Amino acid sequence: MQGAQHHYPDCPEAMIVSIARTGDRAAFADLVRRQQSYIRNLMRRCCGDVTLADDLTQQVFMQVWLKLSGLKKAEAFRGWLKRLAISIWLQHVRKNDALRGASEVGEDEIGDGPVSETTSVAMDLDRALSTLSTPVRLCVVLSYQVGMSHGEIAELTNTPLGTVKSHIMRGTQRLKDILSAYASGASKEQMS
Amino acid sequence: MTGERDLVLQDLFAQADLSLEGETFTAEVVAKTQRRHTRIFMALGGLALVMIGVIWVFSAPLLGFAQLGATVLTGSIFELGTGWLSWALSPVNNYGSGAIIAVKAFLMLRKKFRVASYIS
Repeated sequence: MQGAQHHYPDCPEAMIVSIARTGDRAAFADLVRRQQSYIRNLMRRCCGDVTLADDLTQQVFMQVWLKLSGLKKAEAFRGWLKRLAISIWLQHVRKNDALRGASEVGEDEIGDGPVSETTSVAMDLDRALSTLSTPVRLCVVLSYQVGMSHGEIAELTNTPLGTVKSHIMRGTQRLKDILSAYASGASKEQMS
Repeated sequence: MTGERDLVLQDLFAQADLSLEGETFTAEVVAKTQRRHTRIFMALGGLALVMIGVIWVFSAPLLGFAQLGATVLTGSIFELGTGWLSWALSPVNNYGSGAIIAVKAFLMLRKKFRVASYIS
């Protein structure tokens, strides 16, 4: 059994999930290693704070460890993990009422200019996302980061489809306004 | 699918998806699960000791309370006689089942309204 652990990184994810469900800590560690980057990026987009994002990601994996035995289909792990991460984020938002009523920040409050070439895309994007209200940001992140359709977001967040569409449309427009330097850069590339 | 999204923004989200170093993070998570496991084990051990002590000291009143609880919870909510309907509904036609169903319904409704009130 000890020797088999060295082969975990080469095994299909569903197999590792099945082993981790039995309480195998090495298999669980391999799952964390595989998925941590994705979930940390998702949380960074959601909250815009690297430390908080890592704390929330740790909470997600703690829940994975506790609830994994209840997952019926190992193949459904990724979708289940995504839903768990979003649920942890929503719980965090509910607990912190200050965020709940967060209103959109004016563009002039962002700092000196919308984007600068020296800062990374991730930082610029997180900064732009932080100007959105929490529900709008969540819908935008679920659409662009997670790749969910409007219908899936509506179902997951228990929100009318029209509200989701409106949130995403508003959020997209705002992000495009703030990150317009990237849009013009992309169009210049297309021209050349 | 892509028709729902702006292509420039989609590209920015893809670029911002950094490949983050995972060894330290993984070690922290695994250590946390181990600590939690130890804490739960110790808490359960402590609880078991306390329970044994309580049962030892209060065995007679606890037995009386358990008997009373069993009598109350298995009592029928509606008197349906002795026919087939009474037999068919017997699993749910008692105060114990009623209480469980009520708590479950309350939790489901609370979850539904919490999510709805947050997002809209």
